[in-house]
Amino acid sequence: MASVSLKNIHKSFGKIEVIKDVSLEIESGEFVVFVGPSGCGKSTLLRLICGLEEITSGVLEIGNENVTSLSPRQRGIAMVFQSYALYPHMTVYKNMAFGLKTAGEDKSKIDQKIRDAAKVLQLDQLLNRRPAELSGGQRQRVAIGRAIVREPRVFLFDEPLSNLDASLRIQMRIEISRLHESLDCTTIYVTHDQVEAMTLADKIVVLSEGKVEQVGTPMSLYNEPANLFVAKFIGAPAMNLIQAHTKAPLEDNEPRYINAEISGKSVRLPCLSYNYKDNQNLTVGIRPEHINILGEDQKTQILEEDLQLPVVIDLVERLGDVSYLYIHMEDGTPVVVTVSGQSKLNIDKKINLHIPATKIHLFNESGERIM
Amino acid sequence: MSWHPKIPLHVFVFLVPGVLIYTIFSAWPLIDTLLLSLYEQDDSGARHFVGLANYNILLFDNEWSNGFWNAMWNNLKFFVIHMLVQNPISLLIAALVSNRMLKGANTYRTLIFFPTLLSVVIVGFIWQLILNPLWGVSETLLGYIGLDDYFDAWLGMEPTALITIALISVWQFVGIPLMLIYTALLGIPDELSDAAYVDGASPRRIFWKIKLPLILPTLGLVSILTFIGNFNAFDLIYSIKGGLAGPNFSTDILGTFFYRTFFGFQSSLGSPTMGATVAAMMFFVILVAVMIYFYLVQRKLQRYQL
Repeated sequence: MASVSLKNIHKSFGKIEVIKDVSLEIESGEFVVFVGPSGCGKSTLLRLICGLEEITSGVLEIGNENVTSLSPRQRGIAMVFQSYALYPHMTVYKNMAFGLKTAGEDKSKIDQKIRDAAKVLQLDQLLNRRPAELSGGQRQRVAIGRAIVREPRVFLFDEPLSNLDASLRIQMRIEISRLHESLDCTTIYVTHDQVEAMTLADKIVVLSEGKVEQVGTPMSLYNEPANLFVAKFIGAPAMNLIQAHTKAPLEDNEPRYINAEISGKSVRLPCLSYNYKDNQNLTVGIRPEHINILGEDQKTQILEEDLQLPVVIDLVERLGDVSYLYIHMEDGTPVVVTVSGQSKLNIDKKINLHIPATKIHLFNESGERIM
Repeated sequence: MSWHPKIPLHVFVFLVPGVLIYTIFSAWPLIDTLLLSLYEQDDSGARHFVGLANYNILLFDNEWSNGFWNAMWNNLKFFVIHMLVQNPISLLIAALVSNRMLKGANTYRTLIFFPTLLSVVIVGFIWQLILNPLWGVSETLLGYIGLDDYFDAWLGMEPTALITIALISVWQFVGIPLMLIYTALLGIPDELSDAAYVDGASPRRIFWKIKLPLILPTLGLVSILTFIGNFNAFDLIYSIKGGLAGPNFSTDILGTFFYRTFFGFQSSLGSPTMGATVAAMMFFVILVAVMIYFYLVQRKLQRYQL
């Protein structure tokens, strides 16, 4: 167990810079998830921490010790690969023993460690099998077991669940979570699946194009995305983004509000102090579950600054517990609304949306959050 | 359907072209050769069935058997040299060129494979010139590194001629096992070596413990292909040494022995029936070796799902 600290890490492949000045503090015992779209550099960052790729510039510390130029073994890390990377010609037992044997550990000690890990991961019956004779979930467990027996200071997971089917993925997700709970080992986990990120992480690092977009707990990312990218990436269905533009401030304008126009309608948007000029582009973000439908829900309280928009329903998806309404506004902007229960609304029906001002996320021209 | 045979008729229709071509050009010539080895031809050209008498002569009559066993023994040496030199070298080079860190790997691969594309006759001729003690370049070249004292007329001396020719053959054909092994090595996912590296294994340990076991089936295949190739070899020796495979038959292998027996050489007349007997023996040697290999070795080498 150890803390991990990345200081101004850069990585270039030839002329292409894939990791651009990443600095990050990971505390001892923390479960950190790197998440981002494919090609954002999250796997590369993991391989840099692992020692499989050389760091172009910057300092990597594990347990307050500079490990930038050390090999994976010296760094004290273990990694679970996306394809599991089990040695096909070795039994489960030998797969788990390989790293320990390489380190020249005592045979009886190796045996003890493997038996212990096998018990934790329910692999006792499978020790003499070869990887080809195992199911996907079992292979996954062997890969984790191979990492555990090494007793690493940091666990690295590279999209470990992406090769499993949906139900097994949920099961393994819970197992990994439980395992982290019991081992209490610093874990860095890479995924493109934001549900995995939200459910597993103590701390999520959102990456895009080699840069850190935001670091925070899952709920802080969900509730207060720092920029448009995070807003779009976290949450499913994704946050609705509606284009707006500012209008010159009025005489009696309060500093907490911006005057703006959304599809030809004048609105007052709540905002943190923000010096704005006339006719600047804004993006209004609202999560699908925060939109109400007027006339459907009796309890809706409409405040003065709340938005009201007339829309038409394009499509209704009923999942049983919730329904998704796919809607377009008058200017064609698509909007998704989550309604609990099984909605009775139908396609082509005209309805009025109610967007509570308190739930609005507001982003300026460069995509930064201003509310 | 009222008529429902166990094997539908169209299966046979589809099989006919393949079976026909294979029979005419492959199976029948072989059977004909085997049959011919059971006959004797007299001066008038008439053939009589003599059973296994030809084999008896070939294996036990000193006049024939000395030559035959000499060729067999030389052929075995020829094969052993390939196994000890060609295949380890191709394994080594394949391991080197499959390294992701190596720049210009494709160029090396192409250059090493290049001699394989040359005609054997040309290769034989070129090497004869290079190694020629009178006007060859090898003595001069060896002189540059101070080794000219070791130079000798290797192709012309009984103890070294066969080894030299075998090494020339290695030089020419090292590219083929190289390609097979190289492809097999490329087939091993990078993540496996990454995992072993994270497990603390050195590149050498990764090679011996992870990669080599995974390409064993390919190495087996390379060995048996080398065996078949070597026991059918003929052209290189013929192009360098001619049909007499000198000096004093020291480079005579089964292919050249068969050639002299079947077609005759210089003053001696050829004998189709004895030639067929030698050809049949070559066939049996290869057949038995391949069978032993498949039953004892290949079955135990498991191909792993990567």
